[in-house]
Amino acid sequence: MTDRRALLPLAGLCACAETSADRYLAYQHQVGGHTVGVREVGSLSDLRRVEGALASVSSGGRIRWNHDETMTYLGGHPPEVAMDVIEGTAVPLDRGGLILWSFYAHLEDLAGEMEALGLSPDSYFPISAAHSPIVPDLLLSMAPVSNAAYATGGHIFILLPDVGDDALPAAANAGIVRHEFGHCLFHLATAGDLYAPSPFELVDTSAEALYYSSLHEGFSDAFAALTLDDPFFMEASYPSETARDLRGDLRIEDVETPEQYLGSEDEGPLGDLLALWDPYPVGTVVASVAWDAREATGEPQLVARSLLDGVALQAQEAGDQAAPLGSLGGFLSAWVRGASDEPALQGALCTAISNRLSTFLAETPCGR
Amino acid sequence: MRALMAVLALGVSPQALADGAGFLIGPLLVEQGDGQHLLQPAGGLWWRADPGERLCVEVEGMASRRVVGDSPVSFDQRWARGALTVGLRFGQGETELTAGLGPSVTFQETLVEAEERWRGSAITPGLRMAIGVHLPDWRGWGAAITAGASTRRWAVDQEMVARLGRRWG
Repeated sequence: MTDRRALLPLAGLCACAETSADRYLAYQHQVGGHTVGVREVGSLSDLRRVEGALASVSSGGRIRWNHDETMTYLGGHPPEVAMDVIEGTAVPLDRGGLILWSFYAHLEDLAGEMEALGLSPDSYFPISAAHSPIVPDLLLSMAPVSNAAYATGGHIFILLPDVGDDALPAAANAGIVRHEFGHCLFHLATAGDLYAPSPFELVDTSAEALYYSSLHEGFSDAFAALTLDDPFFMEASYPSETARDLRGDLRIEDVETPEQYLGSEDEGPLGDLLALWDPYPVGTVVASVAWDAREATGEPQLVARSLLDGVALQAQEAGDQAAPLGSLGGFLSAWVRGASDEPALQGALCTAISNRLSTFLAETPCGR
Repeated sequence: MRALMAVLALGVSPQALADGAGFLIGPLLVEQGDGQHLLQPAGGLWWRADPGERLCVEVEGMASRRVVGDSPVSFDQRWARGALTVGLRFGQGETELTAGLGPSVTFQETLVEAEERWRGSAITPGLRMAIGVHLPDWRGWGAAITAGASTRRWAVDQEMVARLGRRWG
């Protein structure tokens, strides 16, 4: 038949495009922005399907919230990045492919940073990444775009598509990828298992639970900022979010605390429905302490290591019933005590806590 | 492009060529394989023959261009697809519903500009399915709305277009 003969050259052309690549294009982080450049393939073994030793990406599907407050990723299908190989370099034929490759590239860089911090990447990788899934979250369901998330209790990275073409997509922002991965580190340290539910139920609105959520965000911001050495890593994606710039002078007195939130009778037009706790402001104050210490010591990796030690120590003391897990004062105390081998760092932490979290100073060794 | 022309010239009797042809225009909703959904304009040409009472054969060519730019990188994406579908037509009066299936071939070419420039392209054969609602002719002019889906490896592109054209024979 004529049609079969006509299609044969097409099949041949398609096969020619399968030349293997040893490099690919990806966004690369720079303070104040990103560039696009060539990098080695590394562990990204399947460029078309964005699959490698560290992660496998799926598109679509849904995140199911289980009765025990863990999460499971259902459905989804492998992505199909349209690409060409030019002199050994894989070139994506659309922006979506560049975003997914960049996400993987940031994970690979992060795995290297984690080894430098004494963390074993094998404890955290591989991770499942869900691109554009249906999510069981009220806010993300209403606007499932231009964001990224980590699903605790499911060990799932959620990447949402971007609506605009002008800003750096969240999934391609090295800092946002590290922020979300910070949630993974914090969850493992405090819940004991990547697939365990959160220590606090979602409906728990106690001050401890709210502080815990703020510590989650603060730790993740600090982890991202310190490992990239960039205090406003989200600028390229969300330039208007200047309140999250860790160089600011935000103090605990400037933000709503869980106690104030719980004591407030203010309700939005829909009552309690939209009067949700915002964990970020308190989290930013905590993360700013970490950045202050980095500025004072000049050693971001040392501060990051102390932050990890502080979370681990607080979780251990909570397990021993010595202090509650959702205590900001307890966390700050563990952070300072964990840095006892580094007097300069400990002093820097005390100075920063004194400046930004003075009401909690007495709960730390700094106040004695 | 020779391969694309070969597809467009597939064997339908010359007599049937006189059944209708025209242009199409409309939003092309592409579900790219990576999960991004983009609405972009498309234009093209179509040709249809009705060689039997219930049979119809359609050849369609579509093309689109989209420039996506941000500060560190921009994408100048060009896209074209040719398809041949063979299907059935049903209808009461002069309004018809058609459903067809057949091979397609998609050509993509993209210029990626950052600190360096890269130009990549791909030709991907696939399978196309399409349904259409064809409105009654007016003095030999016809209009239709068609919705289609075409595969590119494991990805599926979808589009909906309005067709305008001249019917004769």
